[in-house]
Amino acid sequence: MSEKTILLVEDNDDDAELTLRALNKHKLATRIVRARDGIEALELLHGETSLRPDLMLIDLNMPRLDGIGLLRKVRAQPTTRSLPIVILTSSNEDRDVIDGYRLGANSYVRKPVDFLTFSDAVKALGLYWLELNLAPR
Amino acid sequence: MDLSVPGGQRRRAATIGFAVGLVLIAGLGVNGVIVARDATTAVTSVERSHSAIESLVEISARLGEARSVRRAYGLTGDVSYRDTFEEEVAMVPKRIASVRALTAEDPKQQHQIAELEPLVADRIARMSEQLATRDALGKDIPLDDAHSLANGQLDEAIRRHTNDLIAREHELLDQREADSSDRSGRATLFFAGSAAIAFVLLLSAFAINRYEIRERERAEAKTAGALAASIALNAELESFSYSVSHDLRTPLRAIDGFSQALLEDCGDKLDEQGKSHLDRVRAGTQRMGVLIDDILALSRVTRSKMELQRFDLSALAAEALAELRETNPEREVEVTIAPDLNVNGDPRLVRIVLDNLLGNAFKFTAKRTKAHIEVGATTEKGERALFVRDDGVGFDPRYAEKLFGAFQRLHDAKEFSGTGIGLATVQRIVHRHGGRIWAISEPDKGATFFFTLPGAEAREEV
Repeated sequence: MSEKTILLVEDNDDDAELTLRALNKHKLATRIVRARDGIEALELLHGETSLRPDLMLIDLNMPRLDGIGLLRKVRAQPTTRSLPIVILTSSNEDRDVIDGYRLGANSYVRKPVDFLTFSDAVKALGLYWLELNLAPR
Repeated sequence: MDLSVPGGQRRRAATIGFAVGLVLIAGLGVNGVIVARDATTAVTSVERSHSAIESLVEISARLGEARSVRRAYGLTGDVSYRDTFEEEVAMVPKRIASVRALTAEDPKQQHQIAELEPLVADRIARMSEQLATRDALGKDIPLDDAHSLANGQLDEAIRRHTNDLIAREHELLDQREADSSDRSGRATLFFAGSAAIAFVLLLSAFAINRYEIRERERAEAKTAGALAASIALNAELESFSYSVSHDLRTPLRAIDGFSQALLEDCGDKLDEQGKSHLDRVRAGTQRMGVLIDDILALSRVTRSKMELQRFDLSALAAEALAELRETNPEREVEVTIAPDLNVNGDPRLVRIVLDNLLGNAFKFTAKRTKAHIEVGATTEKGERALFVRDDGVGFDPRYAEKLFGAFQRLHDAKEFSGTGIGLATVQRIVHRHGGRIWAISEPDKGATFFFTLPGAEAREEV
């Protein structure tokens, strides 16, 4: 497997750790960078590091800049416009799904209570977005 | 008019008032035409009197002129006098005819004209005879005494008749003028009165209309307030269930995830009992997660806006069935769906009904090696009812009432999984469609769930 970087944007430490655990379990990425909210994510993308992840996993409910706000900003910037983005959230309210897709999310995964089910979902989306469906760089 | 009466009565009063106003205006219109025509007729009859008098005066004048020119012709033999004579006498019968026409309504005058006419004709004939004699002899000859006397008597009779006719016509004219003036006065009064009534009606209509508009505005403001309150309440419920969905599930995920992590990372340090305890922690956590989801689904079913349309329930059932077959690939279930079950309803909500009823049918036939499920329609008490029938474990009919209560379960959760919210959700959806739901069963003989979807009469249950 070639070098793959995933940017995980998640404010909840427990959720972040479980997501990392699922990603590592299936060896989906060589490098996983975590941001605690939208502002941190934008600093990583546009700051000195100029991070160019292969996939972004973003939570919706976050302090300062939430997932929807981050999605809007990422899609507005020419350098990050075509990044694959998967929304990863607790909510399955219609309006979140609709808003997410309307603002250009590529996929949507609802975090289930059952960790093993979640782990399977992460594996599936990782395979799809990192191996099968590479966005043009 | 008392305006502080209830809406229904006020509407009825407004209708009656409007009808009375219409009848009144129509009556005034018809009456107005009659009054105007009478006044016109009166004016016309006055004009006719004047014409009749003029014609009578003209008859006398022309006869007098005829006598004069006849005499002048006799003396001079000047042909121009003869021509004038002919012109004058030619006009006389025409004037008599017009007087006859103008006085056609008065028998007395008609009688006098009938007497006058032969006198005039006789007098003209006598003058014409004199002229003929003058032409034959080349000179005028004086009339003898007898003829002279007869002419004088004729002239006298003609003058008397003419004067009588004129006097009679003046008498009629006075009457007609008085009558015409009366009628004109009445017409003026009538039109003034009509205008006043119309004015009052319009003013009332305007006042009532303004009152109604103010009332409506007040009612609309009240409705808008209630609507705003309802929207606010709905938004609050919306945000509450969003928080429940998000915030309750997050710690559950941590409990489940780290229990699993514990099993994976430290499994070798735990004995079988320790692992079993962790499995129970995870099972309880996941059950709690499903409960939260089901409660949210129930709440969403109650809150969501209904979008009614006519659709094919058979096709919807086939879709739900296909998904069930996918999630239960090991099951052998024979399903019969009656074709073309067209119903009125919200397809999204009815799909939840079918998911639950077919899901239950799958669940409670799990112990059959080959299960049978049927979806169809029947008539119950004159109403079309749809049904989902299975040949599963069924239930004790004594508890049929409890089926649709939230968190009610008739079977052991260990035997058949579930939260007991599915049928409560189904019942709420059916009720929102204005329908009924019931079930019949006997233990081990399967169950049949019936529901109606009147659709058109759907009512909102808050």
